[in-house]
Amino acid sequence: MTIKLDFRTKLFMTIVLSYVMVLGNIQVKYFLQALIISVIPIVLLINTKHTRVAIIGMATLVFVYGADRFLMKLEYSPLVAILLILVMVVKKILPAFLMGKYTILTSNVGESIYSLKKMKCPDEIAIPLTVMVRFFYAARIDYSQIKKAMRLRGLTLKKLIKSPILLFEYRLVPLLMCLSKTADDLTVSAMTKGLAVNQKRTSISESRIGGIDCIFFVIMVWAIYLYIRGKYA
Amino acid sequence: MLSLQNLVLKFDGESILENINLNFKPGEVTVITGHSGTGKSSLLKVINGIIPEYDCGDVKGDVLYKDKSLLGMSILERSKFISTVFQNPKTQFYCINSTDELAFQLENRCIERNLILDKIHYYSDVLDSKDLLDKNIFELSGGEKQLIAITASGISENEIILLDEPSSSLDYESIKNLKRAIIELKKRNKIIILVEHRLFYLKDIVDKLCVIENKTFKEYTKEYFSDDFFERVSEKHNLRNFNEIFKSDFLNRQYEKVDMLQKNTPSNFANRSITCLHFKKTYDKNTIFDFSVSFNNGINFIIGQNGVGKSTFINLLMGTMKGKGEVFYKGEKLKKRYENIFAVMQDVNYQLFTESVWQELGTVTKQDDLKNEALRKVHLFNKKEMHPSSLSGGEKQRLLLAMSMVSQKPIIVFDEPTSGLCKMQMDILIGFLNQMVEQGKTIIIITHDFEFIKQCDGAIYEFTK
Repeated sequence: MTIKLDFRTKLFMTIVLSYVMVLGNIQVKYFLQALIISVIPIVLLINTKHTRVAIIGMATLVFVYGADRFLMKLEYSPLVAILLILVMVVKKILPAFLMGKYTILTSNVGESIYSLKKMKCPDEIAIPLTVMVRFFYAARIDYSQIKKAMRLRGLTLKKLIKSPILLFEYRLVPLLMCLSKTADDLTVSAMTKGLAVNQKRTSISESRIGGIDCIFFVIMVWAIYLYIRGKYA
Repeated sequence: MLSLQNLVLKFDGESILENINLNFKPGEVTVITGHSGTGKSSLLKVINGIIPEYDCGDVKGDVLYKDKSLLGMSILERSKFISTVFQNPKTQFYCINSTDELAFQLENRCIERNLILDKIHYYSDVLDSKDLLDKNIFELSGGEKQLIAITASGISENEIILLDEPSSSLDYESIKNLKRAIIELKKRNKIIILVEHRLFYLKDIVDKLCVIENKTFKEYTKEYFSDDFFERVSEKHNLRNFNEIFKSDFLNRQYEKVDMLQKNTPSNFANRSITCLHFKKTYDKNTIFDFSVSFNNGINFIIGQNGVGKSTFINLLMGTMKGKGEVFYKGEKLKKRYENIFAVMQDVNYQLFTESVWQELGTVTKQDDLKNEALRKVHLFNKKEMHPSSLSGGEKQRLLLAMSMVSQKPIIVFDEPTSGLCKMQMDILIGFLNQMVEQGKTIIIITHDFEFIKQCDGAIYEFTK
């Protein structure tokens, strides 16, 4: 069974996970709970069949937690300290990153505008937000095409590493050209399909907070509770 | 009825179209054709309002629909009765999910959810796009994307449907689907206006043919359409062919069917210039292909249905994708493939990196005389100081051709080089291809364009499964 979360729940989870995991010290005080919270986005990703991202996320997670344990046992040295910091940063950011990825991968434009509107978010914010998601999607495709084209022209990283400015320029100039064109085309396509600010609109996706959303809300509240306890108790 | 009255279109004071008078009736298919850069697409933009609201341009005269002038209306107001299917399938969608995209316009009109779903159901059935529902649009093929765009225009139930070169990157099967969809919309009494270079699929559905020449329209209505009319017209205006070309027309050429799942190594590889040995690619445990193939010097066309794996094969050949297989050129194994292969991909915008045409050539060779010669050959000499992105699509492609000529690479790969080219540009391209063959290069071309293959000599490889 596929878990279908409301866009608002996903947004809430992304915000909570980034705040609690990045700024809190759950990882230090409640090892098991932190692990459980970190696994939530991975479970969701597997559930929606984004297996590749899920596996990479899981492997990174296991690796950093393992590395953490291992490094703690070693004697102090500057290198160990640097590695520990690195591991800590990844541990903190990873859940938020995976949750954000999940939100982007599984939300669609119509649904997100509709949900944001239900939250009384004004069109001036809701529409640019959804355009941004769509724009990044196009940008990613553009960028990989450009990298490929450069490789074919023999403009490889190896050759250009000595002149980083040139590398930067060769990658960026066509990307900016493509992106400005993409932005234009997207605007035109939205306008010719009647998207406008401050108009009433419907959505075919059923945007409702259901039982499953409530469960995740409770889990998030629990995470917030852990955050507060870890910090102040 | 939609009518253009004394329409004049100017860009920067220079007129592109002059005194256009045309009427479009419901249930009629109007095809607008002519050479590149004559303002065909611009005319569509005047009708749907992109000019002057989004793109600059000076419009005089009038565009009337149901006796009301459209010129005072915004794109948004016009979107209530005009739908546009754009040329580039990559950016004409606002959503990522196909069902979402189909619902998008009606959602904006605040129509009730169940009614939208009913309409999606009905039109995807009629227009044969049911299998495409609820998919990621970016993972669909070009033909499937175009079908989604047309289904969306049907669902909007707009009376006017504009299509800007919808067939430019489609294979024959997809063009058939496109044609079927246009016929269905025609039955529903829409005003359909198509801008197109490839004309063969339109012969039996067109009601009015307009050719743009010297800034004005030559209009041919149904009464003109006699047996030899289409041939005369295409000769007179140097247009592309109206007659469908079949695979059976190529029987007198070197024609090989290549089974992409057959592992055996044929014995006739020995004397050929390029051999791709044991090419294998799997994706999600499915084998896309597992085969060997070899090409001779000269031009080699690769044909086959959308999605059979032609592009994947080419990417593996060029080394831009991981996979198994070895490439031999004249008996020697190629280690760094990209050092021997020059590619002209379908979207030329990705392939130009520098600030001027001259610098662009400089990334391939340092010899000025070679550069000058190549630029003269492709008629870009007077544009050598220009920024590559200010060139037109055809000029960008020619710049890449110039680069492939001066580069020392013996193998040149093209992906759909004729998409969006008019007859004249296609003939120029063929001229350059022949020059490259004389230079001794091996050329591999992926194409769906049988007319191009017919005009141009070369071996044909049909990839099948």
